[in-house]
Amino acid sequence: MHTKHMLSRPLRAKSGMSTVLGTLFFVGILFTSVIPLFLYVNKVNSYYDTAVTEMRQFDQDRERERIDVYAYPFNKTSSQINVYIKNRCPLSVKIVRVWVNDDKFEFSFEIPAMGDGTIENIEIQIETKAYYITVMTARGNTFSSYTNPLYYTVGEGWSGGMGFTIQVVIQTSTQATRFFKVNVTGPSSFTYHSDVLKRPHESSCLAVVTVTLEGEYHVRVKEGTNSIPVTPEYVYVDFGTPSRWVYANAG
Amino acid sequence: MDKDQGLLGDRKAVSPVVASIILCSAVLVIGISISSFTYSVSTNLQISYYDEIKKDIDTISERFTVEHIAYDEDAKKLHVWVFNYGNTTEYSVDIEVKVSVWGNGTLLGESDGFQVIPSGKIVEITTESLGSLSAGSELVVKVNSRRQNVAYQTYVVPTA
Repeated sequence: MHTKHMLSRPLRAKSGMSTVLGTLFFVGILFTSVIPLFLYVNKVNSYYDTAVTEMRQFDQDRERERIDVYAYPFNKTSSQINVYIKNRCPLSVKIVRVWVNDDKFEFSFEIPAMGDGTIENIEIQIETKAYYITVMTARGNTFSSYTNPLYYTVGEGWSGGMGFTIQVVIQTSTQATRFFKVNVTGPSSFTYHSDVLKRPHESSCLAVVTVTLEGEYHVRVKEGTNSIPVTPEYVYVDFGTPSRWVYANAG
Repeated sequence: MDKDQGLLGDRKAVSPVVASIILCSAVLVIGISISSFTYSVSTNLQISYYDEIKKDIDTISERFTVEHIAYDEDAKKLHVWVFNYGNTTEYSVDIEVKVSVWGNGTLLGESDGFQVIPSGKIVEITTESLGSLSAGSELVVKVNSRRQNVAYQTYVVPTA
């Protein structure tokens, strides 16, 4: 009996202490190393998922980007080119560069969703050759001008543009918002009428008139009831010269 | 006498206490060792796991495109402008790219090593001499990044 008592007491004491200590260490390791590791991994995975989602959204936005670009010379013999951009997507578009052939011009020009704007006075070196204009957006899309290529001939000036079109450039020197009415009449009772808005920060605005038949067209521009001088007022469009530029000086 | 000896001089009663102390010390030492080892391994795993995931995020965040190409007929070299447009996201990364030019499935030439393009920037990369290319030749411009992403662009050599 005494011997049994002597043996069982230390055994009980030993197993009790070590179990408690072992359990404490186990719980300690669990809370200081294993659980934080799982939480951290979970957080990093979540960070990765967020990155994937955001990049997918970015790609979708990029796919959705759609703008119409019209580049046009400031006047018949100008060395400056303006680029009219119509944003046709529900996102704002930032133009970061305009390329004229192999020359690039840096910009930071933002066009609001479904809005429009004109990048003005891009100074280029003019000589007898074709000019191709493209714009680059911040989302990495390239858009070519619908008026490509523009031709410049020394002594004659600018020609080219869109097929069978009359491009009317209205120039002004005032900063105010102005409304113009463009009216074009031509063969087979062709009639075109459009309202054109010039914003305060712009010095010109553009109306692109697509015509179907070759022949002579009469271009008129009015501001309210006042007629604005147009040069040339009558333009002849045929397959030899499918596109014409008309300039109206609104003062 | 027996009673006194039991209280003060029972040598047999000391050994379980010592054994318990030794056992507890052993458990403490082993426990602390395992604990610190586990903590160290856990921390290293966290760091290396983050590094791996960050690498993956950088790879999927790379966005670049061939913005413009021009052929220098005198030098027989192709000038390629590559735009790193990933700067509009918070995961923007600088990239390193190399340009190679292919025609009819044959490698015509490539750029000299990898070039760094900071996020949001455009860089002009010039290839080595491609030899004479006739007007109208169709080329494939391939841009490889160091993270194994690729961008392609086709180019037709213009008439002089």
